[in-house]
Amino acid sequence: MAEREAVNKMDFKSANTEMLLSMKKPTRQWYIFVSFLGAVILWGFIAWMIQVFYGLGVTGINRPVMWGFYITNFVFWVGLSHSGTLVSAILRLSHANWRRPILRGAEAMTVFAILVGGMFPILHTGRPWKIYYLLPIPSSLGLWPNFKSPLPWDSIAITTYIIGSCTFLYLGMIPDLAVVRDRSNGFRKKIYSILAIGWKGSAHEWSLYSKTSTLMAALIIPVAVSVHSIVSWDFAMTLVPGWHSTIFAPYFVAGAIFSGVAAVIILIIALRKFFYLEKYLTLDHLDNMGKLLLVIALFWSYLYFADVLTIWYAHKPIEWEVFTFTGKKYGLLLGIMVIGNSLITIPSLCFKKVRRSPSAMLLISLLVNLSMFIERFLIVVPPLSHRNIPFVWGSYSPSWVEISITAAAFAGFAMLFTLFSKFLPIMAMTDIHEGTMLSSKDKFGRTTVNKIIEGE
Amino acid sequence: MEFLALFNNIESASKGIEELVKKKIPEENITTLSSVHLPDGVLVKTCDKAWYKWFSVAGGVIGAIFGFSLATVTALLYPLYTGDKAIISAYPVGIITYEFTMLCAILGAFIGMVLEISGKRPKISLYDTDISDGMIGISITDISKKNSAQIKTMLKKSGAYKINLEDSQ
Repeated sequence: MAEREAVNKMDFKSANTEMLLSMKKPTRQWYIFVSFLGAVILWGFIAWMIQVFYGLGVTGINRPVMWGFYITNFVFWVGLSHSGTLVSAILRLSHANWRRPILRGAEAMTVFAILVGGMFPILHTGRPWKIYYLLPIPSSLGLWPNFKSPLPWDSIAITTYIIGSCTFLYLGMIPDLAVVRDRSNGFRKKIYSILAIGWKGSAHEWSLYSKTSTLMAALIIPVAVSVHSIVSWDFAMTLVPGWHSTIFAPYFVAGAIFSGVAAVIILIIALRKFFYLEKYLTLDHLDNMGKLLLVIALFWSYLYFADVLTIWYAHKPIEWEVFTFTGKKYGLLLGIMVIGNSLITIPSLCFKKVRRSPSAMLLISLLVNLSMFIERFLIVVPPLSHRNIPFVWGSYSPSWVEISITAAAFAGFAMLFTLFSKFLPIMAMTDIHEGTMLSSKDKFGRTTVNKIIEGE
Repeated sequence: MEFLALFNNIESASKGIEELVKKKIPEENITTLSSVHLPDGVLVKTCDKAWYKWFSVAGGVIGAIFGFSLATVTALLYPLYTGDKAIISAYPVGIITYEFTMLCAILGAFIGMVLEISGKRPKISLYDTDISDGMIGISITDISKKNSAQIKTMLKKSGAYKINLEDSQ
């Protein structure tokens, strides 16, 4: 008995050590990786400075396509941000025990993706130093925002989501910050003590924490749904052919969850590989996430088909024009999108062998995200290229400035995540321990099965 | 006097608590410290009603009033006719109100939780870093000096591998 207890103690301690491996002293490779990301970000910053100096003329944006890569990026990143908090909240509310190891990474992903996404409308304004004109304060010009436009809805929704997601992420981290505090010394200990808000793990603290987590999960889900619905209404509220559609809100939300789930899978694979967390982020997690991705791929495909079928059957001249123009001008991109989002993803994910293979899942998830980026581009650009008045039809291709800033956005996202994993616990340790504690193996007939004790 | 006894597992910790209760130590003076959430009643009961939810409700109400006022007053101060819609249109006002309601409800829940945790926190001064490595701590407060030796023996017997005590008197 005493021996078993000693083993349990060691297990818990060594599990914490393993899960906090990412917070160890940085290695040379870490510095090289961060320097590389820093260089890409710097390049993007220089590109942006050039845009600030010369104006939006250095981008590919021009009449009639006034929304280009920046808005594509905005929609893509806001979409990517969806899955983290949404998946985490849904799995928390549904008491899905397997959720625990993926929670933290997914929630952090939400915060970083929304921060990166929120940057693009500011870049898109061209003169970000005048951004305060958008705020509802009486300026000397007497300008007030028009709340009948979906754009102020969007800025308010994004702000709500950023604050809500940060709160959700921080709330989940409090007990883990106390673990880090107990293992730190000196200045770091002081910082983590402040962050852990005096957490001791008393029964009263846990009870309140658990109730608040559930309440917060219930509150954040409708916010997440509203955010991407509002992003879709930026498009759907206009009379632009190809945008003015009632299906846009659910279609955007489905697309957002789709790309977000794929991003969480990429994250799981990266964490397994770089921080040696195979013991915690198991193939079962990949399998479950693969099933989730399959369901959402089917749902997205269904919505896409419903949208396209309606356009095709109605054959409204201007909508049909946009549709055929997309096929002719961006046929290759359209093909990649359909193949990547549906034709390859759906059949592959039906096989358990594929869902349990990290390399196959990585390829599929990367393909889904590439396809979703293309999908966002095809939503933004072709309808603006061929609007109602034929003599202002045009086209668009991104300039090097926009491509550089896009690359910097990806590097910035990776940088935020790398720094997060260095300074804060990347795994929800206490949640994982709770899961282990509440589940046990039990003899059932001639076999042993997993037994789960339901918490509050 | 205050005790903090550390146990390796739930079974021995629960045995320790049972012994304390048998010894007529008031249950409100006993609490557990752990690095995982133990369902209520596994060791101690925390069935006290939480009031932090009212912060969330209050936050939601304040947010709703603010959002509604912002959308309507702005429209009245700077009336813009847009696409044959009324100056104060129900849908946009509803959306702005909804977003602010949710934002303030989330913040209210979080602030309420932090305040309630700090306000109702049991007056425990002892803590051990072993707790974050999976050990279960049983904290007993307001123990008289004459009982202390007996309680210490009892906790040791139940399986406590380490006992810290603090004499506040």
